[in-house]
This record gives sequence, structure tokens and C-alpha cells, in this order.
Amino acid sequence: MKEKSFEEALEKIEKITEKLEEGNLPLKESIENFKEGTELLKFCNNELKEAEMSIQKIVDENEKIKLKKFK
Amino acid sequence: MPKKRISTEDKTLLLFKQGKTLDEIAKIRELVKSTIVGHLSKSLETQEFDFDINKFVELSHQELIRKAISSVGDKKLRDLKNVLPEDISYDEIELMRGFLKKRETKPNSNIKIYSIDEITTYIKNLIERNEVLQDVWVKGEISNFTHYGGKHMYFDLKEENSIIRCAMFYRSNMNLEFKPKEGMEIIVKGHVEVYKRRGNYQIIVEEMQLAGKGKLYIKFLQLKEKLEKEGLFKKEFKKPIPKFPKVIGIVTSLEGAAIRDIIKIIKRRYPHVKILIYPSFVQGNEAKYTLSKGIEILNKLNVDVIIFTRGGGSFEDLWPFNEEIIARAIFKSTIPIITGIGHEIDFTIADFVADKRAPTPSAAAELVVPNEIEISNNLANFGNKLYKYLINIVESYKKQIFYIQNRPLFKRPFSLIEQYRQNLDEKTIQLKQILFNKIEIQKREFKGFKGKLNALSPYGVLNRGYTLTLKEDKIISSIKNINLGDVVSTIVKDGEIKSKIQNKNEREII
Repeated sequence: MKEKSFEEALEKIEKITEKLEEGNLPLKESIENFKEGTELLKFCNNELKEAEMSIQKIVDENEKIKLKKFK
Repeated sequence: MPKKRISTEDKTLLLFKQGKTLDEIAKIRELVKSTIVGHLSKSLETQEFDFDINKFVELSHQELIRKAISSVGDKKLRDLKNVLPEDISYDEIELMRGFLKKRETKPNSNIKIYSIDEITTYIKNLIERNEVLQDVWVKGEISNFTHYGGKHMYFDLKEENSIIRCAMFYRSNMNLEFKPKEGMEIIVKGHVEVYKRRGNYQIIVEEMQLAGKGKLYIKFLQLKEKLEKEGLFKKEFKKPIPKFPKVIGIVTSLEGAAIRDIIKIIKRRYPHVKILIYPSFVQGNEAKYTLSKGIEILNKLNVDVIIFTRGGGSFEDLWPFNEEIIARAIFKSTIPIITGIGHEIDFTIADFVADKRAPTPSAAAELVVPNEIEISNNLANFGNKLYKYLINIVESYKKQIFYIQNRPLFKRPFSLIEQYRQNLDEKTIQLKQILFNKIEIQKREFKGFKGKLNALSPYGVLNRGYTLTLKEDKIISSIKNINLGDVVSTIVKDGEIKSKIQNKNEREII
């Protein structure tokens, strides 16, 4: 997948979902869209997980500094 | 040429002075007599010359005209004529009027009569525009002290043979360090004003001090005024105090509680800072030199901020901090200076020049360093906020994605193709139906056909008692196809008969 932002991906998922829910697409296109939507969801989930992890990491590092300072 | 400058009244007067009668003058000047009277009357008002009114106005008339003028005024001759008896002529009235005017103005011409307000204002200006009286220091004893409603103070300042009224208004007395009382010996600074309502003068007191402090205090005030005028106290010269100093310089005495308190507070609040102390005298004659030297030296040592301090003491004890040399040293310092001198109520010149005044040495210490625990608490708070903020963002995205994932499309993705499947199923059924129908039709067609076929079949005749005769599986339809001795098969309804030909007769059958 090419470089894209979380927000862009999320927006695209919304669009794809809507299109699919309308149900006017040819089968092949439906499947292709569904495939893309699922991949984007996976991407977003991963991004979120990574964000959470980096926040946790920063918090942990700060805790360490604080502890060191006030020991 | 000079003649031209002589006015018409003066020409008449000249003739009059030569002893001519009014009629004669009128004749000479070719004017009517009333005009000559007018000239003369005017001259009487403005000039000095011998004139005997009795020659022109009867004595009894003189009195009447005088009265008429005092009742109706002397503006209009006609008004006077109207109130006077008929026999008094316009000429008499006019001459009398001129004569009286002259008498009226003559004795008063050099005297100005003042109203009370005018003279009081004059005195007021004399006093209040006098430089000496506008900035005076006066020492005396308080008497008749009143303090109306706790606002303005009024009192007399007296000594043995003299007394002067004083007023000290609220804006000046609100910060007074002591309560003035009857009989107190004080020194006041103020300016003299005239109080018009009472017609007296009084000192408007701006500052008041117990006479005991006397000279030093006056010196203090004078220096303060001087430096203030020079601008040494101006806000624009105040340097900002660094929030997180690394090195703090202190100018103070190594003895006394001040330095110990300061170090204790700094160590407690902000332990990582370095402290450089310049030990100095803080009272006595030498103090001003060592104190100013301290500022100078610390300026060379790259400290971030200087605390200039000493503990409490009497006004005289704190005096070195009121010396001009100190003020100059503080002003010259390129490093910000915090003062903490004496107690809260003590204000020294150093305090005014300093970049920041703390009320006490301890307060100076608290001002100079931040509280590390407070900072870290603040930081922790801030960190928490930041963390919550980020987590909120992530959480809200998570919700969004959770919502999407729970939509029917992603929850039951096969629903996506169900419609196609259904469609397909329907089509399949349709197709089957069509085929089935087709087959049925053909079946039916076939049955009919079979009937027809049966009717035409050679076997059909067997049922009706006919037989078929075959030679080598070929139907014998003519006698010519058979020879004597041949074996033939005869097929009947229910079997087959083999026979040998013994005879044959050809004849017409059909």
C-alpha cells in the first residue's frame, strides 16, 4: 500500500462502505472494494495500535526520568 | 499743521479759556450754542480748567439736576429733562452733567478698590507662586489635632511664639507609619497654600516624620526625590528576574539570620542552584563601600541574579542602603538585583532602584528561585493533560473504526454476495422450469406420435388375426420372392411358425 495518512484511510473506508451498502456495484467491483476496505481497516487499526504504543513509550520514559530525579 | 490735530472740543475750550461767552464762541465757530455746550461738557469730563458752574447753572437747579442724575442716571439727557422742571434747559443739564462727572472721577483716579476675592487671590498667587513656599520642611509640635472620619488630618504646628495651620489629606496620610498625636514633635514636608474661605494660609502636608528621625529622614526623602527625577526608579530600567537561575549572587553579612534563612530557603526550594556570597558590612560607615563593591564584583562573576539584603534593624541601621553610592551601583548593575532589606515596612533607596523589591530577606529568597516541587507538580499535571488529550484522540478514532467494523457490511461480509447468490438461485430455478416444461411438451408430443406409429405398425395387424411371413428376416410380399423348399417364418400375434414351402400358386389377390 502506498504511503497514506490515517485520516485519509479512514475517509476512504467511509466512502467504500457507503458505496457497498448501496449495493449497486457489479460483483467484481464489490469484491475489489470490499477487499480494499478491509485492508484499510487493518491499516487504521495498526496505526492506532502503534500510536497507543508510542504514547505509552513516552509516558514510560518520562516516568523513568521522574523516578531517577526524585530517588 | 498743528491746527489740524486740535479737536473741535479743544477749539471750543481754547476760546472759552480766552474768556469768550458761549454765545460768542458759537458765533465765532459758526455753530449752534447747544453744540458749544456739548463740547464744553465733554471737556469738563476729561480736562482740567477753571470753570464756575454757578455762572451757568442756577444753584437751585444744580441741586435738582444732581438728584435727577442719581435717580435716572446720566446716560440720556432726554430722560433727565423729562423728570426735571420745564425751566431747566438742556444746556444747564448737560453742563451740570459734565461738571459732576469730572468731580466724581477726579479724586478716585489713582486708587483701585479690590473685592475681597480679588485681594485674596492676589495674596494666594503671591504665596503659591513662590518657590520657597512650595517646598518647605517645617518642624514643630502638633496641637488642635483632628482626624475627621479617619480621612483628612487638620492640626496646628506650633512653637513658642508662632503657629501655623496644617492640613494633611487622606492620600498623603494613608501610608503614615505612626499615629500623629497632640504634642508630638514632628517634621513635615509640604507646600503653603491660601485657604480663601477662611482667609488664612496653611501648610498642605505631603510627608510627616517624627522629629527624632529628623535629619536622616529628610536626607532620605531628598535623595529619593533627586533620584526619582533622574529616572533611576523608572519601570523601563527594571530588568526581568530570571525564572531559573543557575548561579545566585548574594551581597550581605555572613553574620546574622538573613543569610542563613536565605540559604535554607534556596536549598529547600531549588537545590541545584549555585550560590556565591559577597560578605559585606551591612551597617556602619564602611557598609556603603563594601555593599556597592559587592554588586560590582558579582557583576564580573557571571551570576544570573543578585540578592541584596540584610535583616531588620532601626532606620539608622538600614541607613547604608539609603546611600547614593548604593543606588548608583544598583542602577549600573547589568545583572538583575532583588532587594530584601529589613522588614516589610522598611523602604530604602536601594529598594526603589532595584529591579525587584522583596519585603524581607526570606521573601527575596523565595522570589529568586522557583519551587522545584511546584514545578514538577505543574509538569506532571501538564503531562497528564497531554496524555489524556492524546488518549482521547486515539479513543475517539478507535470508536470510529469500531463503529465501521460493526456495520453489517463488515460484520457479515457474505451479505455482500448474498444478493448475487439469490439472483443466481432464482435464475437456476427459472431455467430448470423452462427445461422441464420443454421436456413435458416433448413427452406429450412423443405419446401422440407413438399412437400414430402403432396404428401404422405391421404388428398392429397381428392383433386382428393377420400374420407376417418372413424369409431371412425379409417380409415376403410377392410369390415371386419364394421358391419351393424355402424355409420361412410366419409371425403370429403370439409366436413364430417355421414351415417349408411345398407348393406355390400364383394368382391375382388384390
